Amino acid sequence: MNKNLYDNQNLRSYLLGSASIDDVDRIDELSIADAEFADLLSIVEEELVDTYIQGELGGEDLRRFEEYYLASPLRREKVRFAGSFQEYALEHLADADLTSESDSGSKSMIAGLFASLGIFRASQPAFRFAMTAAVLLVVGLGSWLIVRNLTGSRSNTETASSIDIIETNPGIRTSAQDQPSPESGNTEIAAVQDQNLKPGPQPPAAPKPRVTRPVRPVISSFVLSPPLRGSQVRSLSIPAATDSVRMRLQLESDDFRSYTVELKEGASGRTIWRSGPVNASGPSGTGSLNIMIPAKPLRPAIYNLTVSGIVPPGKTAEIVGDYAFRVVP
Amino acid sequence: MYEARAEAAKSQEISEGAFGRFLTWLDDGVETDGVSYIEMRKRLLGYFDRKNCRSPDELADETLNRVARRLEEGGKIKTESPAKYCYTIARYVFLEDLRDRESRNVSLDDKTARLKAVAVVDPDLAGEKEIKEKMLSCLEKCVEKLEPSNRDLIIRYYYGVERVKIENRKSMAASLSISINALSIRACRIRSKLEACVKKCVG
Repeated sequence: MNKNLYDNQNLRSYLLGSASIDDVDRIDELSIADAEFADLLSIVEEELVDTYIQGELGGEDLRRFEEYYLASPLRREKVRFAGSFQEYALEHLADADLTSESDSGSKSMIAGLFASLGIFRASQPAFRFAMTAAVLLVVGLGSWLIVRNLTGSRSNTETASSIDIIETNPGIRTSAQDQPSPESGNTEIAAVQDQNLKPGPQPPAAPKPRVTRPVRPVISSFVLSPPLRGSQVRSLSIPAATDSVRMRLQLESDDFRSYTVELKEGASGRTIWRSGPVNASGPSGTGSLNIMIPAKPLRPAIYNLTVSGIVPPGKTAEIVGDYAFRVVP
Repeated sequence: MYEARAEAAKSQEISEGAFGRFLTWLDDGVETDGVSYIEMRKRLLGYFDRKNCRSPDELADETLNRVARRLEEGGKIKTESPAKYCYTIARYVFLEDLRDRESRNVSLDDKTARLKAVAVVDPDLAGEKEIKEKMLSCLEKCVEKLEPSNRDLIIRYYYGVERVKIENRKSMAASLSISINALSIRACRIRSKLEACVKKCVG
């Protein structure tokens, strides 16, 4: 049986219950009889679940996922775990971003100060996240004031956006010129090993080997407060290199167990992104929703984030808020 | 090994000696200290779950017990590989379960309706927030139990979306001097471990 006949799309179809009977039989067998194939199937399943959680699943796949995949309690458990895991990873990456060695000096300095006070060692992730946000708010506002003073006049849109911005995190990029050639790297390592083996006078210190760090994505974070009647559309300036936009939507009231968020173009009303189920975090009654949106589709224009409460079947989903914002260059 | 015994002991249907011989047979010449058993049980559980069986756990145990009994009775089993034989038995167990379900005159329409209803109105959703909070707290504890390198890997692996995610994984694989495929398998196994730990912790 040739297991190489199946690519990720075939396996996705199988997991969503839409593969042909012949494929189902073969994949069933391989999923038990072939360890390597079983691993591959697990990876595809995790990717599928993550895609759903991130709201990137659409059309027929989304329908099949909700009607077929979620029909099993074990698989629902898997989805629930994936949701918690992503939340956990997001919070802990926020910590990692904050303490990154190549982040701005002010961030590292403040993180170090709080770490020495033991604040970031608190066991509750929510508390750490809140502290991170608070520190970044102070740093962000401080930096903004400095930049504002230095550059003089700034447009009104930026003034408005600064109220909402918590963090704009310049990620770390590994540029081509930073990469040592494999040969030079090996030579340097060999030289260090040689020093350790041979006693006697030390040769001049070799230049410190450059370390290739993983590419870190650039995330811009914003907080949107509950929409007020007659209030101006908020302007958000998203840096050009941003890969993802993290939004915290503060809820006026937290009346539902979970929510979905849709990102729509203001002009056409077309939905360009939809989240999976999102649970509110924070104190009961005044929670907020944390979502991550790919930055790619966001061009200078007006957008709406429509938040709906998830309701039992047969009832119409209830829209609990529209968060309008304008992306400015 | 202990974990494998604990799983098998649930059924109380095979003797200690027979179980030991079954583990050796399942290892197929490579001593795994019960890991083969745990892995096979996981695969069977997934199989019965994907077939929408109502008790995938019981059916996975039933399959393994039948294979162990067959081995005990015959002394040896002629097969291409132990895993392939497990599939053959699993398929019989599944067909029996299917016949059993059909004999209860549950129409396909009823079943579909039930599945749809279950998918949308999940009774488990009651207290969802509390469960999620508990899950996050358990996740914190379970991640702490991981080796630091695995902890770092699992957090960074799932970072980003689309292009960023791909670039990040390429970069991680390069820094570990492994292929992206090997990195995916490593991350998937760590995540499975975490999932099992969280499941146990949440109770």
